[in-house]
Amino acid sequence: MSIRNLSRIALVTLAVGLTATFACLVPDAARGEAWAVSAPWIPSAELAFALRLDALSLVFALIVTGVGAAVFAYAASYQTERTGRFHALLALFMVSMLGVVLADDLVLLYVFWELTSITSFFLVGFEHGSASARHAARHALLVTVLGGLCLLAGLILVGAAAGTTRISELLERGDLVREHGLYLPALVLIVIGASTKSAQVPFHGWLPRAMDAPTPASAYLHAATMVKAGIYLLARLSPVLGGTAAWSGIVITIGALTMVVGAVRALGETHLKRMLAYSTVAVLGMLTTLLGVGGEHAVLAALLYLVAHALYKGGLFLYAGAVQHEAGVSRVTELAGLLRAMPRTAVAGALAAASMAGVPPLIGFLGKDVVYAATLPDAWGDALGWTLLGVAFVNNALMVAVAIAVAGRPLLQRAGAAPDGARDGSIGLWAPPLALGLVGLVAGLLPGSLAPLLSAATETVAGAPVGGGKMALHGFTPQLAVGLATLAAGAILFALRGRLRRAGASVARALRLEPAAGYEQVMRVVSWAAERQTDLLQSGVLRHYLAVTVAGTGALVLAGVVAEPPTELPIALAGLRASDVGLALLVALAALAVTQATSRFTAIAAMGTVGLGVALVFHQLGAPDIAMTQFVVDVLNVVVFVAAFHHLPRLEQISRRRSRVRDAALAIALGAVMATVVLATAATAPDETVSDWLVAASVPQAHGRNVVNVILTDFRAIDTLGEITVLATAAFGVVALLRLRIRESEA
Amino acid sequence: MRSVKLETTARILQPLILFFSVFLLLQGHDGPGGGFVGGLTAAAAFTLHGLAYGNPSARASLKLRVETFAAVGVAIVMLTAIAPMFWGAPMLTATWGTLDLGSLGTAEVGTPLLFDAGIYLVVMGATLMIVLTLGEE
Repeated sequence: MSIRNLSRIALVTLAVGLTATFACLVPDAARGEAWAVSAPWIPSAELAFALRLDALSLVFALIVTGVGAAVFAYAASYQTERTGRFHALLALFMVSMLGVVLADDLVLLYVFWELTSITSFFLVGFEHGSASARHAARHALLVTVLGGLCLLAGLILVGAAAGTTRISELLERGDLVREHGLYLPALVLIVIGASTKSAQVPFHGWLPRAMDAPTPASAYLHAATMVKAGIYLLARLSPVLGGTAAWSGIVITIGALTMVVGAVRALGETHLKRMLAYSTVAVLGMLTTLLGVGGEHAVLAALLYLVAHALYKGGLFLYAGAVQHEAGVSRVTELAGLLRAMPRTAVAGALAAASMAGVPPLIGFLGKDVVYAATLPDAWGDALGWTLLGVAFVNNALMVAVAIAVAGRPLLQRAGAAPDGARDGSIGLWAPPLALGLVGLVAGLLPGSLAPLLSAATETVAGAPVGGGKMALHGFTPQLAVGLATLAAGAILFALRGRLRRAGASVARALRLEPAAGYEQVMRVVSWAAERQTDLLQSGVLRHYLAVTVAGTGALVLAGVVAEPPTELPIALAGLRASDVGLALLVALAALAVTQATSRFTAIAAMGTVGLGVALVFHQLGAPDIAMTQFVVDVLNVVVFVAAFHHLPRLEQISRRRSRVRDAALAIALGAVMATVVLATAATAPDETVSDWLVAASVPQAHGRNVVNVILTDFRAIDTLGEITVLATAAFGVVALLRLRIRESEA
Repeated sequence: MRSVKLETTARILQPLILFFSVFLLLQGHDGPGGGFVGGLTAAAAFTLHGLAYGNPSARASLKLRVETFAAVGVAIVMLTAIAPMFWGAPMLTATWGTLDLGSLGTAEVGTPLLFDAGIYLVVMGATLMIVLTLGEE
């Protein structure tokens, strides 16, 4: 059995098992029960690895594992290269996403949130040979991680305002947070985080680009689950943050804008997956709007539509992937005759598309019905209600048109044959989308099966339960009329799609609305700024760096000396030995020789003499360790110089008179400053408690008589650890740069 | 360009310098020496080899890639740093024991020596990485 099949079986079993486990908990959760576990994580920061499963989490967990099972079953037939890596990433994502919806601690939630961004990055860039996939992956990562940082800041503010990071405790302290001075910044930051993840305007550009990911990943992450993380977060925190004018103002505005932009762009697309991606953007906008509206009706509508969307959009992506995989077509305009060529795939696609369009009795119809039911009562009241109803209507009508374009027309149209060789793929390619479609059908026929859980979940978000009757079909209601009108309007929009697309394209051109235009603009500014500051700070000339370092150090030390001028500078010549004077003369003369040398070789030799002279000084002063190290370093320095020096320009060329004068002034100034400091230091009586302790503790506590070494390897070993790591990293960097030069000179 | 004098000198001196570098490492805790200077000295021994016989020969005589020495050194340092945490002790806690060497007497050995050996390898590897690559340019 191949590794591919093994990992498929393991993954599907895992996902199905988890789905079944979660499904068993539905009756209890619907009664309002919750399960919590907690283990210490970072006790010093009062952070716990706390998980909690209530009705709201359960809705999301069921989507994550249920759609996951379908996607895993599908993925093994779809992805034929590097399947192990692909499956591992999908599994990692599933765990991270479950972590997001189960976390009961804000910081833990953030960690899992970022993990989903990272797995998404690897999945979008899975075909890393393609430049567009790499760019799309980077775009998605930068946007979602930027949002993630905003989210972290927002969560910290909320945690500070409420005095706890435990979400279940936080939910009890909503008033505390809403009345806190930090409420508005926290709200804005958290909404930014949720918007980047859930592709809300103006951050939505990454989602259509992310369609470079393999289709199973698009179906799973970028339709059914990950992009719902922002929705989950808003729903989870709406008892804490929601119900204020700021909340509804910000969230409804973003959601409604996203809805319109997504729906219009979806109809303007012809690329199958991008079309679906834009329609996902529109739906995410609708969910956000509903959460912004708040109240039990809107929240119930959001949750029901979320389930419906996960089922039909997951199914549609799997359908799109199968069509692309078997027929090699990625544009809707090239699809035709699918019912004859690939009947099973076509039926699965049609079922999902019908749900998307809101055809009774599928769950998509139910979802739309409840959305209208939630917006209609308000519509009689005020202008906002009318606007929302209008936006929802236009959005849904456009969804109908998109659904017809994606699966209706290719299925029904006889004119234009299917591409050569198009046929149903293996069972793994058509059964999973069909299964998702059938679940949608059953759920639509038996809304009572979903009602208790969704009602309980609504209660956790909106604080009030919704009667089960709200979800059943009950005769000819106003929302039913609006729903049917939507279908009709959608069909008309579909008929006019050519004209609309041209009009839309010219509007998009006029407004420069390319999906990634804003992002590319920002990236251009960032790299422009990076180049400018590099030009400013990095001349690339070693002598300039040295001059800046020397001048900077000297200025800092000088500032210290000036701030606290030394009272006396004792020059004690009494204890001076002849050997000391000799060594000092040797070093000084050698240093002078370096500056006067006309050949580089002489300069290097003279500099080696300086180093060895200093080593001897250390030896004289009773520091054999330092002397020894200095000695070896200097020997190796000379070797390095000799190895490098024939690559450097001739000495005369770089030593113009002006620069020599400047360097001399700099050197003399630094020497003077350092001499002052040394003399001033000699005048002070140093506090010897630390050094006395080190000497005293060295043998009894560290079993060593060489205090220097004991400090390096024991007392201050953590410093050494850092230095060693830096040293190794620097060496790898130097070698990489040198190799680059060698390769360039060979090329 | 080969020099018989240099080659002969190197042949005699290289093992001596290497022995001396290990000596520096081992006695570092009680006398002058330690992993840092020991590693530098070892690097000097191989640099001498490279000067006499050419850098490719120096690399070959090392058996392993120089990068491996640096990487293994960092790994040893990190492991000795983290290992105590598995026993609930703070990071970098030193452990000492006495080694019975029979007629030679006893020797105290402890994790700082292992830590120092890691430093030795990092310094030697990092220095040689730079010196040998520069010479090849």
